[in-house]
Amino acid sequence: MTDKPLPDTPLPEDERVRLLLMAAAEPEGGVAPPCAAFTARARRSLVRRRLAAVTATLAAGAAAAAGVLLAGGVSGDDDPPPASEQCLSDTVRNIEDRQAQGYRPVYGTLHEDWIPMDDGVTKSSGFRFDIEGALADGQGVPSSGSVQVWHPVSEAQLPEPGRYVLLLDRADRPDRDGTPLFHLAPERALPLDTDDRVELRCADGSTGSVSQDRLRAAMNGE
Amino acid sequence: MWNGRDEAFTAFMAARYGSLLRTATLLTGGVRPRAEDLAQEALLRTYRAWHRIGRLEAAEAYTRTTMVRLLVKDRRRRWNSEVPAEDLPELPEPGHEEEVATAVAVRELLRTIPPAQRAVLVLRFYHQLTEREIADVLGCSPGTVKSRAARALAALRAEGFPTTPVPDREIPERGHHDD
Repeated sequence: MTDKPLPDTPLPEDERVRLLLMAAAEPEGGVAPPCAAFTARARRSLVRRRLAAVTATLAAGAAAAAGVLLAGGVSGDDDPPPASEQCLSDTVRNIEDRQAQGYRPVYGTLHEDWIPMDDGVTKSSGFRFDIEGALADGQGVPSSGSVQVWHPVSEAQLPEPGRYVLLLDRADRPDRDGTPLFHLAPERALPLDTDDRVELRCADGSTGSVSQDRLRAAMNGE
Repeated sequence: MWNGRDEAFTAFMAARYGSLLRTATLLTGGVRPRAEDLAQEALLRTYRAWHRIGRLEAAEAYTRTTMVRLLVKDRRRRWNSEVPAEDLPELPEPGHEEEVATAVAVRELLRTIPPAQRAVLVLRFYHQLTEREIADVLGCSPGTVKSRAARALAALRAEGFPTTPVPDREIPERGHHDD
């Protein structure tokens, strides 16, 4: 490469790379945003997915009912999970990936808070999560009590208030007042209902649920 | 039921598609049809999640994150396939502005590095996210982000782009490059 046009004054590397990328980011030709027709296409796509999900749920319900009838009303399991074994094993593997990075799966209640947080390097905000228990051992994350968790990068990744299984990792630095702070793995927030059933997102885009005990057992290889 | 969502989503695209396409251009190495494919697939997914998003800024961040994940995790899709010669952008001719030549050269380089390294380069230096934030987007460790960034920068230097190593640092505020 020759003669890259950059300012004469030496710049930090971050800034030099940013300028290079800004130059490369400009698409060739004009930019015409998708119009209402694209929105209509997105809507049709969403409707099709919802219909497919309803159909799948009805089929799963019918299969489960048939199973109960065939077993004479006794399934052999106190709370048979509608989520497939494949979906469960995929979920466990995803959780284990995060555990390998230091995260611990805990369950509890997420509150819609906007707590100002400052660890001396980053000023931002977080939410409160009341931990009721843990699904696996782990260092640095308590198995009970209230903790403060940094908001995820994107607000869209912030789960709505409610009960969840979350993967938390203790941040390197506490808040200025000494309060321990935690990071969240936003893509692994699993809703937890009042019957302690965990909602799983399966690879095919569907959802299914398992009991919290079943998930814990699967994580222990049982 | 759909009117409010449709109007807000269409307005979001009108306002932010240019910015999203710039990010997609970097992520795909500058091949226009691929950048548009990537941006529009991410927009379809953003529409599905619209009820959870709410604000325009959050929608852009959501779409950007989706583009990065599609790029890195969905290797079979068109935006990750080999680039046929006829799809390549025109090489600069004598007399073109130097900026154009630089842009073309950077895009060529982006196409030669793996998608995950490309994504880290774009998020770290174009959008100025921290290593932790990028790790959350990509679902990997900050250490992996650091090593991918180092390899991407090494590729830039190997092609003669003027970068100089500086000590690692954290960005003090969580503000992101928006455009």
